[in-house]
Amino acid sequence: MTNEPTAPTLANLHEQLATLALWIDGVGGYLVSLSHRITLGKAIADAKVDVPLIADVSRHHATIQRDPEGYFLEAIRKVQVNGSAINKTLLRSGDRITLGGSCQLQFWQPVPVSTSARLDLVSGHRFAQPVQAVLLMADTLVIGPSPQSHVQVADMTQPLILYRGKSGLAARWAGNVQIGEKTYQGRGPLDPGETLTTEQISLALERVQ
Amino acid sequence: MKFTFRSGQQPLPGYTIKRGIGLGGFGEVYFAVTDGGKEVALKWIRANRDIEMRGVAQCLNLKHPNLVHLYDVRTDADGGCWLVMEYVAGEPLSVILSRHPKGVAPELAAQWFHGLAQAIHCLHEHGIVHRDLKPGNIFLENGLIKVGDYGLCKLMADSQHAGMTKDVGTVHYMAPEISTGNYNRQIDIYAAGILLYEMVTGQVPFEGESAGEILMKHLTTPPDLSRVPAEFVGIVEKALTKNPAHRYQTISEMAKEVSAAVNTTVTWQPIAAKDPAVQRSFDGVPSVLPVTPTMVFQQRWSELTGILLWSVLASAVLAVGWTLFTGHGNYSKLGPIFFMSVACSWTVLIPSKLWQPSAAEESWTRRLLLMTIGFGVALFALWLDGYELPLWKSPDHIAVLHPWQGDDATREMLRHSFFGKLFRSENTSMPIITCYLSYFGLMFLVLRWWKTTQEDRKKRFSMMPVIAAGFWAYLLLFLLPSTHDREIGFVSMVGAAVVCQVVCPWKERTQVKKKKMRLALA
Repeated sequence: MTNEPTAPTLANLHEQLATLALWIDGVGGYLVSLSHRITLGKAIADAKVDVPLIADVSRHHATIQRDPEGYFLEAIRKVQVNGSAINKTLLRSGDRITLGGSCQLQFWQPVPVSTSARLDLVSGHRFAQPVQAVLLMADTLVIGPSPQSHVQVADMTQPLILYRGKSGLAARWAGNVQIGEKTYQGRGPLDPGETLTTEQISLALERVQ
Repeated sequence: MKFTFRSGQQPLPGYTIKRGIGLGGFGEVYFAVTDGGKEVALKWIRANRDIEMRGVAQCLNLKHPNLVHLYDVRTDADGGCWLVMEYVAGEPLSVILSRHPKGVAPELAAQWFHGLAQAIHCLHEHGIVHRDLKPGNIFLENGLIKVGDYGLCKLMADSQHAGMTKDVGTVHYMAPEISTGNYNRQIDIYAAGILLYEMVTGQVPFEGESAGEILMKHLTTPPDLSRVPAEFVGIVEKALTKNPAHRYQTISEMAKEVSAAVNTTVTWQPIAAKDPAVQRSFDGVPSVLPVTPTMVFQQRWSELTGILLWSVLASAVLAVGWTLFTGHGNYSKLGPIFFMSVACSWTVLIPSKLWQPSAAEESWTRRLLLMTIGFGVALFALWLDGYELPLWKSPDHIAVLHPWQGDDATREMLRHSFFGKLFRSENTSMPIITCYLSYFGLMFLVLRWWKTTQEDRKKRFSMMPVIAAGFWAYLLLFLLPSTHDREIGFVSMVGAAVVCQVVCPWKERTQVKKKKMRLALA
């Protein structure tokens, strides 16, 4: 690994905005991770961990890596999946990951056509950010009424899809969508710091330091 | 959902809005994070501001684990009113119940009801009627019930006014008497009954096409209890009685029956704010041991014994000191002065130290008690002066107690006899025993002697009680017959004022600094 600055490629851009916070009005807050490899660990001021947990875990407790075959969980400290200790394992939707003694997460891939995944904290612990879940965004994120969505919103009649566009993140919606000050038809770019409003849902994307 | 404020905005300085949470009848609720990182819920009050704020002010400082805490009321630059509340991360009961269309298990319902009843109990204890209990206002966070949105609540005293019906509650949970405008805390018990019904059946008892139809059912139709589990039928029926007088009178009554109906480990025990037994450490052992009256008495008694011994020493020093100081070298007075000072100081010390220091002091009860003991001191002084008490004499002499009886010769003889002297002093018309009793009795009555023994007295040693004792002792000296050495009576009383202060422990009062001082320090 080198420290010299790399050319501003699409991959590089996504690395730069590795973690975002997605605030959906009336629904909740989510951490969106765009990186293909995330670390899980204790929330400490100077520790560079992608998913900081307020729990009795180590600084770098485990990593989750997205490969073409799927998501691999690799233990750095004591990790159990569905009750059995592991070193490295392929995660399946519904798996329960226990970090250390008590911190438990559940891994979901609710959308069959998308490789994006969702991590819920199920043990009463908290993420360092005031969010409900972590969304591991591969290609798309589906926010919609059906259970086959990364974020289920019962009141909606059609899904809103966030995807990786040519120059960053973008949103797709059947109808008018207002992003920032502009109104788009069908789809539009969604940059961090902007708010998106349709007649059914409003959300904001925030860069997390 | 259309929210007025967007993520990232700061309508109130220090609070950054992250997202909207919900829209209510009174305004919009946002999730926000303070500059310090505290997560809060912000309620922006749009309509009916006066009504809402009046209720909130009453509830702002309520503390209960089952209530959503209110932190503050703020006004933004545009004059908008904001309520800063505890952010509850859990789901409202309405969402949870929508996942259980047939209701939850009776045990779980009883557990939820327990938390709900705790919250209602707390509100009612503080004279507040919630008036808007519904699943949307009740949250479940980590298994703990949190009742929120008591912004609508009002003092019970206010709730007799009519014409408020439209503001009260949600129609499914609305007690029939609300339509009359005359209601009290019973409406919360009715709503609790509907909630219990809904928890175990998944449905509210009265449904209809319009609000009017539902209200009509509340007024006239008895609830269908066939879907309610058998153990709760009686409870729900009683809580949903149309006549508020026939419902449970308190939420405690109802909660007790709900706990008893299911086989649960949770028994109803309201969390009282002032109960020290509630202050338990982690393992459930009370951190504060109960203090029994016996323990208090034992502690005081051991303290008292020490003080009494010291007072003997102090009296001895005083007696010797006085004799040397006055310089008349009459050591025959040494003994009486010493014994009288001990007697007088013990008279003050023993009751004063056994009295409750914190109890509101009933000045006259204490004075009268001290006076009674003072009579005993008077008899002691009488004995010291060489008089014998007539009670110790044989019954033949009892007649002498009434010297005014009999002929003149007998009276004359008696006057010069020993007992004649005892009951009639030469220089006053009073019997001697009356002189002694009145002197010492009055001495203990006129002053608040126990003040000299208090731990929180102003100074360790103050001259004021000594001067006061000296003044009265001198003033009342005329009462004592000349046969008595008046010096002994005087010195022993003043001595007691000195001895009591010397031997009683003292703690410096934590004094509130004067305003000027405080400002100077700031």
